[in-house]
Amino acid sequence: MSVATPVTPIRAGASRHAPPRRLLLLGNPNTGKTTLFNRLCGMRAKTANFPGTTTDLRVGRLQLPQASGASEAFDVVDLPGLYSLKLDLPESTVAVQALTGSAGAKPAAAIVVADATNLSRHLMLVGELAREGVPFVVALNMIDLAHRRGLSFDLEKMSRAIGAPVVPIAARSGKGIDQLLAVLPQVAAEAGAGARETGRAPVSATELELWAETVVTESVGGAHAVGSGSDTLLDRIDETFTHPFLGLVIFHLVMAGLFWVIFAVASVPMDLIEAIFSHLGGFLEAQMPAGAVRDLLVGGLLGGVSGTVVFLPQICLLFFLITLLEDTGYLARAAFVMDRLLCRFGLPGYAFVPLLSSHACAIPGILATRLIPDRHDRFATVLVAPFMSCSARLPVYVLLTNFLFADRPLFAGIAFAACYLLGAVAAMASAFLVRRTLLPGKSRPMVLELPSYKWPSLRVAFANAFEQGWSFLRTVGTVILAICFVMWWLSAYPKVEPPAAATALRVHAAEIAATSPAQSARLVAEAGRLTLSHQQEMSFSGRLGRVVQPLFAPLGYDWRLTMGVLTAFAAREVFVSTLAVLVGAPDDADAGVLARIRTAKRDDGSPLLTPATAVSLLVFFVLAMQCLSTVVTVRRELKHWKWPLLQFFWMTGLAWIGAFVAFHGLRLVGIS
Amino acid sequence: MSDVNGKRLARLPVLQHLADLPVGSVARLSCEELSEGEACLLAAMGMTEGCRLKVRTSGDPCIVEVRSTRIGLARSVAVRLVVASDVASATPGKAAETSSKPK
Repeated sequence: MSVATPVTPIRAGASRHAPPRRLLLLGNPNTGKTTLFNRLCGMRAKTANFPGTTTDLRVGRLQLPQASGASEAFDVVDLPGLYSLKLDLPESTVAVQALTGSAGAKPAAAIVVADATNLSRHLMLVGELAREGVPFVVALNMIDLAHRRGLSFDLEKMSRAIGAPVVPIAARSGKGIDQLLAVLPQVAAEAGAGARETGRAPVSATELELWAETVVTESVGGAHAVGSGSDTLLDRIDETFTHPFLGLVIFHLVMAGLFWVIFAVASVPMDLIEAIFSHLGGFLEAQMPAGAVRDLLVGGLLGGVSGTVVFLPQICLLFFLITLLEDTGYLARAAFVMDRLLCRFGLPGYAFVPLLSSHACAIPGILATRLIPDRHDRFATVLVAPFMSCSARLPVYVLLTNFLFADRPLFAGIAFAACYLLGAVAAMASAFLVRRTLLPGKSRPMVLELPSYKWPSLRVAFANAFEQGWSFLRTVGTVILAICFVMWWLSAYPKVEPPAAATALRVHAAEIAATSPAQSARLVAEAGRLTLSHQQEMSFSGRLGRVVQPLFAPLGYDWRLTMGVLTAFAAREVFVSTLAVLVGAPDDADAGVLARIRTAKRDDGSPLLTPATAVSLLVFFVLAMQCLSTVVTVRRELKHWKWPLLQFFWMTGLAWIGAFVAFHGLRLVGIS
Repeated sequence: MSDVNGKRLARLPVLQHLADLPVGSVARLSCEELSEGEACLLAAMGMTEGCRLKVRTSGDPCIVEVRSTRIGLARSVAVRLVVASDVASATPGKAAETSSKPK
């Protein structure tokens, strides 16, 4: 194989040549495909719905220099990890559609990532790809690890046997990436020159296996070295991590540690964000003349948006840590621990990854259920996935657990973890019921590759945290901003005269201002509170809240909390923003938005949040189905409205009952 | 091993279920009693008929090493995989000594 002089890729900016051709990135799971994708496209990747499929795939832009001196832009599509193109599994179908261009243009070329330490198995996919007529290059990844294990490669011979260039790389360190980038334009140029010669490619499974073994025998030296070392320690670690009891204990310790770190570390940037927004609000109030525009900017938009943006550090941290954990290889072992547990409730071990993904957001979790082979297994997983606490619930959990356990991060962390546990228990109980009624049958047993243990890649973890954080900010900038605007308008209009009691207090305060200034100031503050309370009570949101409030009164909610809960049915994270807008801040503009909510009062002067109300709200948010996007996704995935409707009424009904029991149970034991 | 006439007999591979093999056993996949979909997935993961595998952890899951890859199998899958003890590479006292027949 000949490798051209290394070149520097141009990774930024849009191409002047439209439309960009596609480069497909495919390979077995756990080959470092995503690491290579990040190397090629940086952090500019976006998740896109691939044409012709309903699968969301990561697409990045890469510009490569051409022989003429100009550059050409390519869309790099990161296909899901797959073992074979011929399996009756969703990832294989997506890959075949992408390779054949059945729903659009054929790809310019493919990069197939193969693990250099386990080449014979990975070459089977290469052999299948060779039949597709798409020009490709083999990226022989983890070459550094293979060399350390005593393997050597005759790349010229391997390239001839495969019929495509083979480039040794180490995606983690970046070694060989320049060579790969230099080869890509040559490979892509073949696309216009007709189909690749496929005569030597194997046809049947037996031929494929024989071919792969022959290629390895002829071009890899020291193959006997692989796996010849002592693996006793690894065996013991595997045995411990998958042990029926120890494995479960370790899993819960790992998860508890994860949430504790999120709580302990994220508080610093959260405080900083609150302080920045608080100062910005103070600055705008000082600079702008009083009026509706200032109220909208400071009380409506800034107050509402800050109530959500403040949770950005926790969301980024959650994804960062889960990506690190996944990268170590531990999560695959945890899947088997969970398989034993899930099987008892009628869910397959395959449901573990979709359910874990649902902790980020139910939508990718539901899409990930496409990898579950059995229909009933899949439907049951989709139905219970939204019980898993998603990142949209995080703001509510943080607000309420901090309220319940202020200055006690350990207890707050435990309460936080308990919310996740309650969601998981509700999911298991619901799965148990649904598998014995609507979706009868046993779940399919689990088969899973266990990746090698390795140090996690900070680069990949940062990229994922950045991507998820950016996606969260986009939501804040669109949906939440719009809801904040509407909520501000509903709470600010129609304008009403101050109540008589407030006017009387102001008159009295003016009379005693000279003799007793402190008492006068207190009266003015009280008059301000009464005026604001009256304004909110008579506003559109106040009237709407009071109409619906009887439904939520048994759960301990006043009209403000009711409005918060109602708006959260569009998207859960809106709850905090809605409350931030509704509680206002006449006397303590310098206080952070969360502190204002925690100390807010009801119309009768009693606290807006009490311990019993906070627990009731927590239970409601853990269990209720409050996400329109999820409802639509479930309908799309399960092809019938009866499933999302069943899910909505089941989850929300359970939430109401749970919150009712929590609220009145706590009051019975003297906690109000 | 000898017959009644005292002649040495060739050691034949012993067939048994993968789930019955102790840790450290080396065997070759003989056949499976799985559905077509499960069998195709295993084959694509490298567990093809005749492939050499080593039991790393027994029980549930049963973890086997195939072509340098560790694959975890739920016990309910492992009990449906029939393997032949790999006489040539078996460790004394392990696979070669196991002799239970497939059920």
